[in-house]
Amino acid sequence: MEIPYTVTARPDTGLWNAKVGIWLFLASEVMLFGGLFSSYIFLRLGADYPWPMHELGVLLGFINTIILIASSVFVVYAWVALKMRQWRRFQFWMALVLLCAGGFLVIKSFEYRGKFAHYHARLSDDSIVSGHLDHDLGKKAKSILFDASHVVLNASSGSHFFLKYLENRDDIRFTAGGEELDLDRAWFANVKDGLRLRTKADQLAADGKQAAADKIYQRLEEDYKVLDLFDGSGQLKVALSQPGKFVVPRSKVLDWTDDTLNFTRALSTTLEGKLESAVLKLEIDELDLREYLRRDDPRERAVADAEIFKHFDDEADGTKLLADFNHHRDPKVEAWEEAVSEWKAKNPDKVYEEKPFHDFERVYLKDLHADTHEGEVHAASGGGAHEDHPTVTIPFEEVEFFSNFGPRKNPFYAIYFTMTGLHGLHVLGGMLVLGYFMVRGRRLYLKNPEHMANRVEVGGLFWHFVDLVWIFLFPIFYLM
Amino acid sequence: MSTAAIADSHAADHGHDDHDHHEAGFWRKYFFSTDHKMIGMQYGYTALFFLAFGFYLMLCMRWSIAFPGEQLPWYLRLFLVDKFVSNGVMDGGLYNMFGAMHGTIMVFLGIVPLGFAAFGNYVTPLQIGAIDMAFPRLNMASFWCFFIGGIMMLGSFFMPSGAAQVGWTNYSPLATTAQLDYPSVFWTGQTMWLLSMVFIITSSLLGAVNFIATIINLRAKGLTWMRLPFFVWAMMVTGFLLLLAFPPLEVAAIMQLMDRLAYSSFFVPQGLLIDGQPFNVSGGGSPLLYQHLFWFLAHPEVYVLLLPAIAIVAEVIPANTRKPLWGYRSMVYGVLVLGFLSFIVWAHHMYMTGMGAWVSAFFQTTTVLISVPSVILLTCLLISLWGGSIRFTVPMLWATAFLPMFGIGGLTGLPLAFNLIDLHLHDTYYVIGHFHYVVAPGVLFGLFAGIYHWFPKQTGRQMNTFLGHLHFWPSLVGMNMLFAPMMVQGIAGFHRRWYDGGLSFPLTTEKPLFEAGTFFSKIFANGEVITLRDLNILMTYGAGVLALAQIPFIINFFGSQVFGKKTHSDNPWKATTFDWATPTPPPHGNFTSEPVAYKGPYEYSVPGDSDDFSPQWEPTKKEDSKPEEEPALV
Amino acid sequence: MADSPEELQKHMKTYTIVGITLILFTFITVGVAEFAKTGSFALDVAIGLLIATFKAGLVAFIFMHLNHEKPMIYRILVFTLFFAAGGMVLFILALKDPISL
Ligand code: HEM
Ligand SMILES: [Cu+2]
Repeated sequence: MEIPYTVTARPDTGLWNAKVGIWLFLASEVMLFGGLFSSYIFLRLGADYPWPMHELGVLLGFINTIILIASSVFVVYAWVALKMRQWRRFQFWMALVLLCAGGFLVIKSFEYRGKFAHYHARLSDDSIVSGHLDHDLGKKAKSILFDASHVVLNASSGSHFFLKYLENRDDIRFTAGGEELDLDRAWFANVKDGLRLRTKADQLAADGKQAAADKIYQRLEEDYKVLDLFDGSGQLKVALSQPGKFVVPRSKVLDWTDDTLNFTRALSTTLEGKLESAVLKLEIDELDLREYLRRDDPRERAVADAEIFKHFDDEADGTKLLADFNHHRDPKVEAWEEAVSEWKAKNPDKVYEEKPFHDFERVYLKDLHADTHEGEVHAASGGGAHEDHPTVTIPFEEVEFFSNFGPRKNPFYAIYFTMTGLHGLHVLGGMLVLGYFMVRGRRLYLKNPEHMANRVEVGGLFWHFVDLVWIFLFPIFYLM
Repeated sequence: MSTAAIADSHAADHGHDDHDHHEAGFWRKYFFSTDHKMIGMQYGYTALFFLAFGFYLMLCMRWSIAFPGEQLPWYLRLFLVDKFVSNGVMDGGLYNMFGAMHGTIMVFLGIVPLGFAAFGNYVTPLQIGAIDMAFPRLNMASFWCFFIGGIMMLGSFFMPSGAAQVGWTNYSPLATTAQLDYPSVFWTGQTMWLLSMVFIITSSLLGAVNFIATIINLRAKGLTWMRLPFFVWAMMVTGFLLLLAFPPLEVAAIMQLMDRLAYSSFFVPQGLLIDGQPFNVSGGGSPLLYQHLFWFLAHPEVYVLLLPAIAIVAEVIPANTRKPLWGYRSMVYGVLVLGFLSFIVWAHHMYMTGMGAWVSAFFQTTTVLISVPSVILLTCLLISLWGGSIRFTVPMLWATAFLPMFGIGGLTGLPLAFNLIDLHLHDTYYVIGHFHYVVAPGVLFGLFAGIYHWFPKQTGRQMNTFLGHLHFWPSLVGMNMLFAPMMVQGIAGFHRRWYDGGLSFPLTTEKPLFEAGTFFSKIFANGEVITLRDLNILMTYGAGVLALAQIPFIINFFGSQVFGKKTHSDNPWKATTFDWATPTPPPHGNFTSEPVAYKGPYEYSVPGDSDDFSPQWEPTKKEDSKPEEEPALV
Repeated sequence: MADSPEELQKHMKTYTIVGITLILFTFITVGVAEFAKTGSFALDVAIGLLIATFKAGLVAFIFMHLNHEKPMIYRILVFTLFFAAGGMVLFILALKDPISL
């Protein structure tokens, strides 16, 4: 008993099973990427901020397009080779396909790495800086450094996760109430179990079931003595045997003062001690002061007003569009340059001194819509100090929002990473399948070459589809 | 190409499938089986478990609604560890968790797997005379994806955060920002919900590909499109709904995952505050986008729930009226149109999101249009009863009850279609009543009909009729006690997500339903006034009746597999479709000889025939017409 | 589908030509987008998408053999494309037609 039509076509439909299957699968893939493209359009048309354009390096995307197209051609070559019953030739073309696919993924990963290494911060005055983390400091450049003498733990919501950020964990002993504590996952779990038991016992006692309650109380006495260390509000202050050097990413910190630091509610722990530093250190390659200027400089306003108001009769319309304009405008470059240079002439030192940054020599005033970020290039060159990039030190209080050029930066990057990431996964999947055919397909080929050719046709259809998707991805992300 | 050549190439390419030929081992047979019948049963048992579990969650919720602030009774608390209720009272958070999981489990892990995957898998290949699905191993993969998704969904209860809490629709930005206060956002219920949805969706996609390919390519000789049983048509349309509607939800799930794990802002608008604090992401996304993506799936999804049930009813009714299905052709076209239209009505769930008049009008129109094919299906089934010599077997009881119950569900949908009326009814108990009438007494009744109908084929034994009645009648009563009052409350403005059943909104909920001293108040409340909120108690009792009514079913279902009366025929209902042509239970490979179809699927009581049924596989006696060599398509 | 080896060989040539055309059009896409802006953003986008669609069409019709497929496949794809495009259009309409009070 065999399932019919695995190799030869059913006469009335003219199709073999896998052919129907792959086209159905591709139909669902069309809906998948259709949904993603729809989302892209939806996000872009609905954006109430300037949609980032021309921010991705075109060259790498361009090369990748060519690579994928070439691989698509090689796949059909490979299929024809099988049809002509030339196994070696099939393997040759397939190997080229895999080579292309591998190249595609490598290039893609370079692009990704560049984005992840590139940071951007919006300051409280709405100016924007972007650059790389200080090279010598690395991760510390975006962290808060804190020397803790005590840690305040929370019985109900605390966890051992804060220890991840303690640099000198091995040298430190924790003590409370004269006892040494072995703070780890089990310890916190124990505390929580005890707490739950106690609530239950209290409830039982309140219900008048004293005997049952007492039994639990006794167990608490025996196994959960640690609960007694916590004070009435469920807090426990633990001393550190020597100052604990904490390096906490800004995103894990709720707030801080000179002598305390609160982790986010997820970690729900407080450090006491001395704040070492709470600054963001960036090597800047771009500074965008327009938002800042727009607010402070009447000239800039004047430019805007002159440009925009003369088109309107109705003032209400004008006001609304001015707001739009302030968001979406691609400013006339000359007027802009002029305004800026006049403003700079008038306030030679304002940029340096009123702002929280100190020691950079050069300020790049760039258009938001200006050219490619050089992110890829930096990462690709494997680091090394960028002598020509000034370093800034910005107190975290001044930083409103801060992220690398990853999905967090804005929905453009989010959908860029989602779509190209999913596409990349498809490439990877295709590679695995085609690679399997190339390496392990010979047995089936010898037994039934037509079946093998069918398989390659199916794999090839998938591969072309992946190529087809990229043909759309390339222009919408890189070019427009 | 000659048949010999086909046979040759098959023999050649099946070396790798040789486990098909000898007795499979225990694991291969019951766990990693590629046999469509075993996979169907795996789906069925898993789905029944999930249905029971979802039902239990609902009982807890109903208790909290009827008796807010009171301890759950011991039999409900039996399954609750201290983690959830240390003092036995449900709070709002737990209610939300149970509510979200009730919906999710019932829809994605209960009804769809039972209707589409279990019945579809078991019956479709039999009815088209195929030896198995087109891609048996894909079929197995589909089940295991589903199973993993289900386990993850259940497992999420035991995470520090508990399971997801944001409703089965999982709307952002609430879903994006809920349960972020845990050390590991990955191990939270909300995140697990998304991951497990990705598995479930993948499973459904694989299943859909398999079903459609099977129906297109593996029909028996002579089984032309218009000779397909209606069930098969419905499965194919359902397959297309899943295939084309699920990917957008996968997109939504992936995006929400990105939002939660990579802090992107797909669904987070600018300037979102949480507890008065700015939410620390860039913003600039659109919550509306989530709703579009979700409902693009979820409206077709409701037809995925419905179609298998209506298809089962369409099989049960002719077999028990001994009469052809009335209007087979119009039903086929109806179901195709229904499938088509169901893709363009989704925004009727979003009338309240600020869509403008034009778009609302569009969706309102398509929504009203879609009730036409629904009505066609229902009417055909109703007319099929007319003039039949009806045998009220147990499956037939369920099938007949399906008709009015689904009717009520569908008719209550119509007012919702008009956006003016929906402004008032949206998110009230009316909506809950509407879709539960469709899904619970409607779809579930259809599925029960299917279980009683095909049980003899699968086990070779009949289910007990007395227990069947004991299952059916209280269920019918319980369902209506439970869902009819929802309409009343809904119109009065009861919101669908009150965990205290409206205790904190007395102006709405304490309005009298029956004044003091009137007839009903004398009977039920010692002459005191009965308020709208008091209906909650009635409904909760209804749920209780429903729960008790399932006990005979459980006994019957398992007991009859061992003690049931043996059937002495492969075709105990004297039905006409291919599923009854197989040995009982169908062996691996299903048919003992190659099935050939000679006629349409519902040839009952053919004038001039000696029997009152003439199966598809029997040549017509009058003229010995040969089967068509190469059946034509369409 | 090619029925004879000779035809298959001919197809090889077609594939090569199509491949080269695709690469050529990739150059054109970039060239147009970078150096030949029309001044109207909408027009630029339209041109870019048009070229992309043309390229995608080549891949679909030649490489994926959609120029001679069976009716069943066409039927499936027509519906799929309809729903994908319909969804897209309705998303946009819904976005661009907000309620105004
Ligand atoms: C006969 C035609 C039908 C019409 C005109 C209709 C109309 C509607 C409308 C307009 C809503 C949205 C109400 C609101 O949220 O304000 C709704 C909700 C719903 N309908 Fe229907 N419906 C029909 C049939 C069905 C069927 C057959 C099913 C399922 C098998 C179904 C399941 C649902 C569900 C699950 C919801 C609620 C979703 C939620 O908000 O959680 N409907 N229906
Ligand atoms: Cu709907």
